[in-house]
Amino acid sequence: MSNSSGGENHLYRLEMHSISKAFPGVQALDNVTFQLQPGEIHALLGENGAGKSTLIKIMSGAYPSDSGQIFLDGKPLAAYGPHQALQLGIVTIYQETNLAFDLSVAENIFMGRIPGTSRWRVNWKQLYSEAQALLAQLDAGFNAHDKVGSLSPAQRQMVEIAKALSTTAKVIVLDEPTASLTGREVTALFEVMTRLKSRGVSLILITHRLSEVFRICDRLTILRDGKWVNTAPVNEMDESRIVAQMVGRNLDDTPVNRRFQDGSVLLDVRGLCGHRFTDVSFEIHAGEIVGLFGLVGAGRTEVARAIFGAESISAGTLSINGKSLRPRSPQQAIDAGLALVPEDRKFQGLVLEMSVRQNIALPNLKRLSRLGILNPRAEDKLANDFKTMLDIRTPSIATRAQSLSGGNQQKIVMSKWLAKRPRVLILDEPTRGIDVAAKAEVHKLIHQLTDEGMGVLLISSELPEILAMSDRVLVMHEGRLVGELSREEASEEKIMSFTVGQTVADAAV
Amino acid sequence: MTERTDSSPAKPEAQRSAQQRVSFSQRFWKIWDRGGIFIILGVFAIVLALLTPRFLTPQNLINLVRQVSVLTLMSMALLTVVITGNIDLTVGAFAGLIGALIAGFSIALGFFPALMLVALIAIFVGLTNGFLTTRGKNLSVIVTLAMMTIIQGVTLLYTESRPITGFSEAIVALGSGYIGPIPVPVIIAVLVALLIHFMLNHTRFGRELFAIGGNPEAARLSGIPVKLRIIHAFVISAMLSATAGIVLTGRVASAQPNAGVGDELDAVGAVLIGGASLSGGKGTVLGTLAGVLILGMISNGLNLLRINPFYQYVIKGLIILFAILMDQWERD
Repeated sequence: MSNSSGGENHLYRLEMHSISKAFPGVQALDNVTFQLQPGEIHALLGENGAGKSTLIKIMSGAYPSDSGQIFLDGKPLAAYGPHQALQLGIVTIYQETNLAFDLSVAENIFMGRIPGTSRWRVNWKQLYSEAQALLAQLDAGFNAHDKVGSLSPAQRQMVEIAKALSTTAKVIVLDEPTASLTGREVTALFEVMTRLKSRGVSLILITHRLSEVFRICDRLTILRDGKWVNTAPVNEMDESRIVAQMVGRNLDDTPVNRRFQDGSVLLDVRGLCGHRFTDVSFEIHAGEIVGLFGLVGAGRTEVARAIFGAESISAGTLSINGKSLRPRSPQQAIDAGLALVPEDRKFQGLVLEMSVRQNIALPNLKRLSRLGILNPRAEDKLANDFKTMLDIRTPSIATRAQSLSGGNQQKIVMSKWLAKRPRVLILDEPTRGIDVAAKAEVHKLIHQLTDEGMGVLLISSELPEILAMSDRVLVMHEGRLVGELSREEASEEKIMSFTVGQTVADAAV
Repeated sequence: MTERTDSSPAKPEAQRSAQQRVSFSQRFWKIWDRGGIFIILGVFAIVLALLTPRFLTPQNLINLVRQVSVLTLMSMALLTVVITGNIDLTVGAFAGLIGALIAGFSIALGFFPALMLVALIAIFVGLTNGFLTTRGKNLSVIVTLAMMTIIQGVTLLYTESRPITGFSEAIVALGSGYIGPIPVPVIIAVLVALLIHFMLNHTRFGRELFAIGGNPEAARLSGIPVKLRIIHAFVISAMLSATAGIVLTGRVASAQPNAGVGDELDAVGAVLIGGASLSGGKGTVLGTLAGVLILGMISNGLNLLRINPFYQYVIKGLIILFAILMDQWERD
């Protein structure tokens, strides 16, 4: 990387030069230089904990850097906060959107800059017509009057982009924008990104999906352990080189040859109805991985939560290992041999302020106590066993779950449920937002578990993951099961045709 | 909780260089988190000892811990509930009610039947608080505020706003007795504190309370019966408040119709100063005890220094505000 100061160099829209940042106990960024050209889409890659988020937060004024300089269009910037960053045209769109759910799309877009006829009066007409114009530019399928709370996650992302467009954005950072989007929504988002790029806006894309990098990005920068590793045009790189540079070693992700045997039925779901899904029937055998695929909002998570007793069931029957069950609480489902690794590990999977050890112990307290009194040695042992087994990278089992990276947090959630030794494990988006290396480890683990006879229901929005992992694939659409494919039958085209609402009969024609 | 959680992420190779650059504020929070409250307690004690020689006399120290024993019991009650992310504002008023009831009942029925009866009442009130609180989100403030008013009203109706005297000697012994040089209320408070400490740190039940306060949804999905546990916490709280009420009545040898009224704020103060958070999942018995002693030293110190005792309200209020703000800043 050129070490010449970018100060006089107008080649770059934004240059972050020799940025360092330390947090207690960790050097998050170590002398990182990042250069963004005008009108490019630049992928920022690295494993969880590599320093991507810190770099972005410094760029958007959320953190000051410890050292280093930032240049915008060649001009050095003094220390700035989030508000100044926006005024400079640096807009960040985070994974979790920052919108007011009870307000309209238009109000959210112009939040803090509502056009008015005077200081006290809002010009609603202008507000809505300007918002509508922005939405039209984006080809958004919703109205400026809609409440943000009623939109899908993808649509909320569109609102954030419209918000960025309503200012004179020069740099737009998208932090894993596709994590919760469906294939079609991703395409729409990428079209918008391409259009913005042709207008000279520079975009930074943070993603864990390398296919997206090759699909849309011009250049990429790889970070590892807070250090700069490489910046290169995308067409000079290939997937294995990128992964090797991200991980720092070569990754073995060859699919395991599974020895799945058609075991007994572990989970039998018949005509299950509940909030947002109707008449769902399927079964899971011992040692089987059943993939459940569908677009966001198809009802997959709802089905999983209902089986687990976290949401109510209005009709239908459920049996685990031959015993019928009508779970009214997760407690009952857990006792019957079910476990659920939820979609949202931060809000549903972990108690963030608690330590790794305490989180792993949480569903297993009964086993770890006698007459209600906890056995600290048993608790330590359980946590240490899983720390070793799943290679949880944490300084100690007393470390707070909060301070670990996404992949390691996911391993804690997996640990707490595996320690419970469930018969059937439901995994809701187990690899979302975790890096390639951790993902491969999670996949390996799922295979090991099924080899030992556990049944797995795997919910994922990533088709390649579903195809690679599942012995059978179930497809949901608008709250109904619309297709079932064996491993041999399953293909990307077939699954996608189901997800857009074709029934089995249609597909057969 | 007492477990030492350290928050350094998994980057051992970068650790050494980073630790040298830890800023002053980070270092401050670390020290504050570990034991800021005990430093403040120590400073208070030193200042008082320097200002008046009478502070460090055994007589005064025993007096001090005797005075705070009722507040200790109420604070332990409140702490149990606060850890779940709820609050119980009935601790003061309910202690007042039970103080009156145990006096009246013991006159009519004798001490032990009266004790059984107030225990049943405590269970009932705890169940009611817990049941109503778990009907929705963030209901505990308003539920227990309403219950507090009801309880105060019942106390006034029962006592006809007159003190009750001439009750069982056993109650007086609990409130004013001594075992050796140590007052009985202090022994009761210490035993209860030890019990709650054990419950919070060494039992499954205590761990579940922390989990509920930390993340109720994750706790529920881990198979913890969240609502039931919150109800249990309220029952424990009511039982401890009732104990406080009995001790209080015995200490002054008469049941006052307005006893305990307003004490819930002191308990909130002690619990928050002691490091608990109103959003739940945090709090220790040791910290709470330090909070109780700090509040007690304010009254005691003003008394020794012959300063107008009404200043204590202002000072206590300021200290509680300070504790709340520290909790908020720490989170940022």
